[in-house]
Amino acid sequence: MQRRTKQKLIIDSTDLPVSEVYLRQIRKSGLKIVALSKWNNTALVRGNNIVKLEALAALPFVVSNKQVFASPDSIRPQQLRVKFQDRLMLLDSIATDYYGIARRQIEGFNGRQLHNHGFTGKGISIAVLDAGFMNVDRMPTFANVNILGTRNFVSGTDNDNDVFRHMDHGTKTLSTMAVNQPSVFVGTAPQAGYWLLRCEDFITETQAEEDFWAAGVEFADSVGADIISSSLGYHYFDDKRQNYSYIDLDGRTALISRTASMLARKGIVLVNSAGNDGMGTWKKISVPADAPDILTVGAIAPDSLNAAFSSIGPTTDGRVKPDVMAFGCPTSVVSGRGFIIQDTGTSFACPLVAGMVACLWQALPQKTALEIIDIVRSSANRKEHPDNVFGYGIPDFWKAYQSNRSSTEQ
Amino acid sequence: MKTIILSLLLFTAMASLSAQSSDGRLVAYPGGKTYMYRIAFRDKVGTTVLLLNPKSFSRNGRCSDEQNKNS
Repeated sequence: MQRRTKQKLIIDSTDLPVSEVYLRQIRKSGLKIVALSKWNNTALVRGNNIVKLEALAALPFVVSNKQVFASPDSIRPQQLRVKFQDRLMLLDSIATDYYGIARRQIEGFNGRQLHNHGFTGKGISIAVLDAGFMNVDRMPTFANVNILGTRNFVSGTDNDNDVFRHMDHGTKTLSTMAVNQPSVFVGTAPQAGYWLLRCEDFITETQAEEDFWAAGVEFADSVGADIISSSLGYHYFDDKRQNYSYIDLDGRTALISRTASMLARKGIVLVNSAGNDGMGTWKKISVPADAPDILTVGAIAPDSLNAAFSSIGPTTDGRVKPDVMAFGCPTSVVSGRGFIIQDTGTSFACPLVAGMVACLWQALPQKTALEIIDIVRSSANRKEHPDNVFGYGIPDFWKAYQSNRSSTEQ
Repeated sequence: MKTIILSLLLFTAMASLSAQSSDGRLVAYPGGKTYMYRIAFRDKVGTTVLLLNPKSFSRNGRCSDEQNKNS
């Protein structure tokens, strides 16, 4: 509410909850509701009886009824188990620079200057949507990170709420922003607050994960998150009939993209990875990276050239994608076991930008989400001639602040 | 000696086969065959929350087991 009021954003009917009258009728038939989206006015219903689920289409208040998940008949036992790392490594000082091994990652954005002026993300909250945050609760490296809360939105083979016993992909993405270990590793927003939200099921790949993601971002909205960092994207699924085509990349077709498209108007900046399909047959961005009014992040190598795997645009309706680029080939991250490693992917370029956006927004508190997105694009080094490989280019966050500071101070 | 070597070879082969069998084993998906359907609703009739009082909005996008049981 505070965020909406500050940005003078209206509360509208999409903010009203899904009708409890309707939900009650569905539950009466013995089916379980596992995710809700008030913005899309949808529910994700789970059950074993396909006849009952299909019959929901006949209810007078149901507009559409789509199967988005069918479990495989069988799986390998090892698919059920996360390779959980029990032994943790301690970090050692490896560099003389304040930022340690993460120095280039922040200097690439001219972000050091923002930090030097006290803009380190303080007072800004970032919701990190990912597949799991292995050992973040146990590692001394993360002990001084401001974790605001956790939530698991995945209705999969397990229903535990412990986000720390799953994959370490989220550990790695979080580390690029949040770790604050001077002279070893300092992220791009070491003083921001973080919500850790799990919404990716690594066992299967189905459109149900879009519903988990939507539930996650609506939760982030409800707890006042300013920024969402999402290193997730979809275009192909276990059931090939659910696959998206290029024509679907218009920001309006996939439920996840429709949801993403609403975020800026609700006062939240979504930073999403472009995808890693540049070298495959697909080539292009996935969903929700196709959404308008978000920052879609591609990956560059240290020579500032695009990483070969970084997915390209444009969207079907001709919008430039990706929006901006960041180090992703490789990025220094902290793994679930506690090692500092080099990992590659737009997944790790994305949170670098999200962290810097937090610092910029702290510095320009009067700006709305839409304004911040525009400012970031405008600060990038290819803004005069954006294309569908680099987008607007590499943002310069110090320039972004300098160019807009006077209007804030007046 | 030959017998011992042959036995060892046989044992190694069996162990190897057993390992392959264990790795390749499939198990049923937990909870049996499961489906999820995305239901879109016509409207938001009967909602108890007014736009004038948005603070009463649900904070939880995921339904708890408790909510599923109580309804």
